[in-house]
Amino acid sequence: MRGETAEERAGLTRRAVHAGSGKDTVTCDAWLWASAAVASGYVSCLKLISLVGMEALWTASARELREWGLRTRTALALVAHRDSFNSDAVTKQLTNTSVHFIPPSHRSFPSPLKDLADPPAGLYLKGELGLWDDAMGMARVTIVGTRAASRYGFRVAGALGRSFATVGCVVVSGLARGIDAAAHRGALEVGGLTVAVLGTGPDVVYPRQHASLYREVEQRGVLVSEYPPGTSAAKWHFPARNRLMAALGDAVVVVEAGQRSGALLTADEALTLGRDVFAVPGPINSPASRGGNALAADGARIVYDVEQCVKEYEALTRIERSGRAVKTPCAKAERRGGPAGVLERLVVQALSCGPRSVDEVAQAVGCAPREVAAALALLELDGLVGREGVGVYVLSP
Amino acid sequence: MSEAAERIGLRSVLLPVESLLEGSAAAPELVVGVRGLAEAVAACRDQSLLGRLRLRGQRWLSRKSAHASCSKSQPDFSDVAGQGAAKRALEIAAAGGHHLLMVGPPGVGKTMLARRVPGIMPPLDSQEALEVTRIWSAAGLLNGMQGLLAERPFRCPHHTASTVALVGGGSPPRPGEVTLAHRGVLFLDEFPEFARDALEALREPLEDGHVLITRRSGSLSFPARFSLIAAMNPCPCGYAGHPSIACTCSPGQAERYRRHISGPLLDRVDMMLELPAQTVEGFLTIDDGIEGTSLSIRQRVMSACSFRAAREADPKATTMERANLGKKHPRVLEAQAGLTPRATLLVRRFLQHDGAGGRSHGRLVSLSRTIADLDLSMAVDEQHVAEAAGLHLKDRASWLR
Repeated sequence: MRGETAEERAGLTRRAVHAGSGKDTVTCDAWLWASAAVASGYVSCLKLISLVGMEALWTASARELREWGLRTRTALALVAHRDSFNSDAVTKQLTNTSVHFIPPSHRSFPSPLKDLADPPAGLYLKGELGLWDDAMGMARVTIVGTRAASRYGFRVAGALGRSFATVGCVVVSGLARGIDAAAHRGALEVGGLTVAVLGTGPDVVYPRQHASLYREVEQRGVLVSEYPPGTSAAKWHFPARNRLMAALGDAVVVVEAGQRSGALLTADEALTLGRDVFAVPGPINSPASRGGNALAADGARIVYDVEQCVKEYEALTRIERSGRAVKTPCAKAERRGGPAGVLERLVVQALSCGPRSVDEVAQAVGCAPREVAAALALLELDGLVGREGVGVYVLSP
Repeated sequence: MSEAAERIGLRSVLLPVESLLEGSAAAPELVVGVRGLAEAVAACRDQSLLGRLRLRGQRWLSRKSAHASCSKSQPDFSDVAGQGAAKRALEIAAAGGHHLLMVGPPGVGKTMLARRVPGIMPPLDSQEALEVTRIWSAAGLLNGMQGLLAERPFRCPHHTASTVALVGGGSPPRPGEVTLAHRGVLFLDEFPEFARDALEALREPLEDGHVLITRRSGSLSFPARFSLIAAMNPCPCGYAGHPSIACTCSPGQAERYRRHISGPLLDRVDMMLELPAQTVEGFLTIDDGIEGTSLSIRQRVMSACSFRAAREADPKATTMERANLGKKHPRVLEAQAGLTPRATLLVRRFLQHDGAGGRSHGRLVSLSRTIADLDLSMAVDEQHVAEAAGLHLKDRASWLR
């Protein structure tokens, strides 16, 4: 349901630049309308704003819009959209859904977003405004990856989320399934601050399965979106959301990304903005790691250890430990001892060569499958071993 | 003679080992085989020796009868290459009558394994054979066969089966597949493809071992004490978590597929068996040995069953019948199952780790008990609990998330 075509957007630059730039002395209403128009599919508004300014757009006639490069139909529709816009209704909705609106002129609007070629026409926040200001004053890292994450991906994303939050860094991600959720949970686990950038209105829980995670982020972090409350998910929202994630982080860490993953778009955007990109390498035969490995091959910083990644990031951005108190992590890994019995040690040894099924381990160890199955259950209980795929066991990273 | 002994209430009948088979025909629980008078005298003085001798005789008898009844028409487990862990799990399921769900990519042998389960279950005893024959005759399925049915039923309804076809009903009410599978195996291939209503209707028979059908003319109770073996792929395309083939399902699609099986239903399934994809060189090089034939598995299952029968004859022990599990306090259940203190602790740790509910506790204990029975062990130790937990707990399967 986009209101305009791709050629139209491409044609804008040339013509609109002659229109000159007006000074931004516009009201909040104008920004509210512009972001509503973007959510309705008039994405070129953003480019027009950066070219001619909000004031000009807010008062432009259909003829002017056409001169700036919009098609007649789009220009007329946009003007109609503006005329029918009821700011009172929107303000009421904001109060009802307890969502804050931050126009670009607001002091809480993050300056990193202004690096973008098409910065959002405003941000809708769910959560405490104070936490948002805190988050924008702290170092931030964006953790992204595939929705169809493997167990390895889950573990690494969780560990990165925890480690970054522990050193007082805000974890930015997209509340999607897989890597995003693991990163948010990791940060929350150690009491860190996390920001979820949504591709829907900030009051819409998407995907629905993440209702409890949504609530937790709402209470202990911030949910942010460039779309007004009530906007439901649309395919084109997510690439647009990725550019915000890229801009908000001082660096982007790609944990697991398939060949055509949206995480790669985020990484590209980050490179355009001059942010650092880290890639977590994975098995070369795993489809979920192909994109991440390709990034590493193209010269992204390689994450070979979670702590190394955090240190390198700290060195790059020289973050000062912020004043926010961060609880010490429960550090399950540190409490873990080695495996107990002889058979357990043998099983761990067999698994160190790669993922194995019960039968394969049994053959390698020379024991009956039943004994190996019992040993694996105990190792799983101790968190030393996990399952990857159907009936295949791996050592926990 | 042993029949008369049973009638007047004697607890044991000592027989020379040579006459054991003959004597066992009438009262198999009473007979104790002895080698010579000296052993007979010793057995009379020492209760524990008597018990050991009884067990020895029963193991011998079960081997004998397994040989006699291992039917030639049943497919054999030795046809299945590799999958040692799966065979072991099916052995446990057969010994304890546990319901089992198999998950694996297409072509790993789920159907092949399921077909072989009736062949490793103990043969029908005369009482059970009578029950099964009665049901089959009422359903008009005997086709002129004479005498009692000797083999355990194996029913595999297609996934398009209606609720009535599955659990029974109609007017006048007729037994459904769950009843026809009484004392045998009900195999549901492509489990999530069944209609949701049909699957939910299985909850009652899975738990209680019978179906109650109520119509205007009155209600009827059909027996349905079957072992459920269900099979499914991890996702609609079948290749989620496959080491070399990429899954083509969207996360939402795969989740909807798994959601088709409700939590309460999954809760009633005792074991979940994950069958990993096997490489060709992998399963061609595996040497299965004599352990993997249906005959030897059946022997182990039968000695486990007679061991359990002997154990439950003790008034302090309890039956691990699934209908009883929910009626007991967890600690009472643990004590009666014979869990060692360390094993009890391990059960707690496993359940805590997985955030499992109360039903899970009973299931885990009864599964551990079955594994101990297969070891002919009175006590349930940590090894038994660990193996049971690996098969029981479903939350850890990465593809289920």
